[in-house]
Amino acid sequence: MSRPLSPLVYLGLLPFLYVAGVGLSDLSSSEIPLAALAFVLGFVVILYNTLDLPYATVVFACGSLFFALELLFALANPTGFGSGVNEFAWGILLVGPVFLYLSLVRGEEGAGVRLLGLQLALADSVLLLAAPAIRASTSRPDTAAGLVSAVFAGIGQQFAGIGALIVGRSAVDLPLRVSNDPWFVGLAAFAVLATLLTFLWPVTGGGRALPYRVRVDSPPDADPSARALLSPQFREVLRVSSLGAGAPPGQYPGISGLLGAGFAAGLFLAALLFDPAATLLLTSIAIAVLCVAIVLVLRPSD
Amino acid sequence: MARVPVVLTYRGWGLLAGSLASVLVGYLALNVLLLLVGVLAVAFVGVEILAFGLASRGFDPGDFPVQRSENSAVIAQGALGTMALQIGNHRHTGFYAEVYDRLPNALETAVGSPHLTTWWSSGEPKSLAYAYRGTRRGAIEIGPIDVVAHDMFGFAYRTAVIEDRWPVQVLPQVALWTTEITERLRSETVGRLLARPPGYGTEFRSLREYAPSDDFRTIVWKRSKFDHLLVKEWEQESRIDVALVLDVTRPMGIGPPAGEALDLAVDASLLVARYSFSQGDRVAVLIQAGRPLVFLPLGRTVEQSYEIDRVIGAAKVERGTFQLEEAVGYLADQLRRPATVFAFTALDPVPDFSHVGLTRFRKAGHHIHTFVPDPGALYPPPEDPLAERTERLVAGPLVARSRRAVAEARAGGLPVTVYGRDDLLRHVTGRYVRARLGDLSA
Repeated sequence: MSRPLSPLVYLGLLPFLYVAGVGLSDLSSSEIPLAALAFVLGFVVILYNTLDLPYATVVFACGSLFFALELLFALANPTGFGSGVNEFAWGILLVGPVFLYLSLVRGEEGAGVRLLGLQLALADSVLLLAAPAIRASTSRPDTAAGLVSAVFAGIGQQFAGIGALIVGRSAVDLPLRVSNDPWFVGLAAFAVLATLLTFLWPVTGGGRALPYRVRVDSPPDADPSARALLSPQFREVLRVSSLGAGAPPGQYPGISGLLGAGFAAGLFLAALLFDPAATLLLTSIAIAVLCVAIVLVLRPSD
Repeated sequence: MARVPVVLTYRGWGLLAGSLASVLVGYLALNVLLLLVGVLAVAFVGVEILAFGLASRGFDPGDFPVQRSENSAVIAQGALGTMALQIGNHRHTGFYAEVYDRLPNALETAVGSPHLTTWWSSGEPKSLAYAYRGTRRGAIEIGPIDVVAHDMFGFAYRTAVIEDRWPVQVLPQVALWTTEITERLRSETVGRLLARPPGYGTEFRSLREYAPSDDFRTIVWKRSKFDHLLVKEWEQESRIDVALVLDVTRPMGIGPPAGEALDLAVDASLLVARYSFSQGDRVAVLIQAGRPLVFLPLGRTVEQSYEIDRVIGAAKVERGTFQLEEAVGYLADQLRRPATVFAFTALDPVPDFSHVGLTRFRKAGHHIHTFVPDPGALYPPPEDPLAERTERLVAGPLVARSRRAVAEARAGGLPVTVYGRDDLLRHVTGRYVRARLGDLSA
């Protein structure tokens, strides 16, 4: 049974398609066809699974196995299997953000999983965008094989850099630290907004829609013929019983969260501007304070 | 008083965990964009939860006074009942609310809704109105009422449970499905009633001229003249005393939902009771589990009829064991005239036939008809062989036990009729007709 996805989910794909385009343009013209084929194949398999088309699980499992084996071949012996393996592997790596985004941003997943999926997809995109620079800095060959190995080298460098920071060293190499591409940043902001909008609707915890600025009609009678059996007095009582209504003008429920988020983002950027070194510490303290406050609110003896 | 706590929903926990994980990804990447996404998410979810917690502080059931009106107290099974309630709001701030008047499974909504999702402003009363049908007989409670306050995005909620309940008695719908049976009973008994011979009874028939064989004491002096003596003619007793005995122990709970042995017994008991009332008979009821839970002495008033409907209709499985000999012994003490007793019991345990209660009961001239459920015939036939084998395996020991009890009871001189899911009314009708005709011809 296929399931439709919100158009917002498709809009959220834009930064990842952009990254794929940039990634393909990093290749020479002879390398592009095979990498593009791998990207398209991977994209189709992921979309097939996302839409839950017939035999989606089988198609997805077989496709994933094939792509994983291909990547392993490319990593195990980058020069031994010919350049095609690496070009194909680069195409698979380029479809990675789409995989992370669509696999975790599907309709039935929880909002938190969706958010994490988006964040992981963005992190993967940053890594892919940084791959050419890593390739250049580590004197890897100017080919698809160089890009593939640069991606994995970049992950290693990032963790090594974090480790070095933790032990107090200052001059460290963090390939994911900078994302200079303004198009990517703009599209990523758009994807964040699109993802947020998929779950920023007035709903109950159980997913039942809350009326917002509207009056909701009473639900249809379970047994319409029964209404005629009721006394005129009770029919009148039914008529004047309360209907679901939204908040009146002047009251904006949910605004506190949005204001809080805006305020926090503003503070974060201001701190980054004035004292980048202290930003992480301040952010950590603020998040810790917020978590403690939530725990206090959740205590039974409120 | 313990306050109502804030509870995070699955969505709330998920987003909180997801946003913290996003911050972690941001820390690992040390990338401004990723950190900003994480900070935004954590701040949004956290502030929303905190704001909801603060705004709904002191949320308490006492904030919501409830007034119920237009409510049914007794309805027949399948008939409509109505409920209207108004809930006040003494809170100082408005909030998104879900209001539920808890409707048990035995009732199903027909018109309107016992549920409301709305914004609830301070001081504004909300009213719910709905009509429902009783799908199962018994004493049922509507309520309590849940008022659930939500934040705007479904991250957290508080639930105030307002302990306001409304009892509804759903009576078995015997009136409809007994029409044919009662008509048959009527047609079979009417002819016999008219053919009753005159004799020494308690019911006045007419006056007639004195005959030498008449008892001198029957002369009606006020209406007689010296040369024309009149005597009262009496009919033999046309009314009988009926006692209904219901075993409400666990073994009577066997059977599918709404078709349990006890449900069938309740329907049959009410059929007998209502027909007996229509004939002017006196009816008594004994409901027992371990000890007599309910005893209604013999009566034929409208109030007695209503009370019998109420107590039988509300019968439900209770803890304890049912000893038939103790039940009939109790009845023997309560009934002054010989009565016809209809006992619905699982005979678990088998009665002790040497018990003094049973002896006293028999000596007093009472007649008993015992109806025992057959555990193997209460469920609809299984749809496939596997289900049939499973049922046989599970119900086998019960069936064997029940059959042994029936055989022992019959050997002890107890008239026992075994019933299944759709033959009890036929059995009861037959026994009842025989009881009436037997009494009349005696």
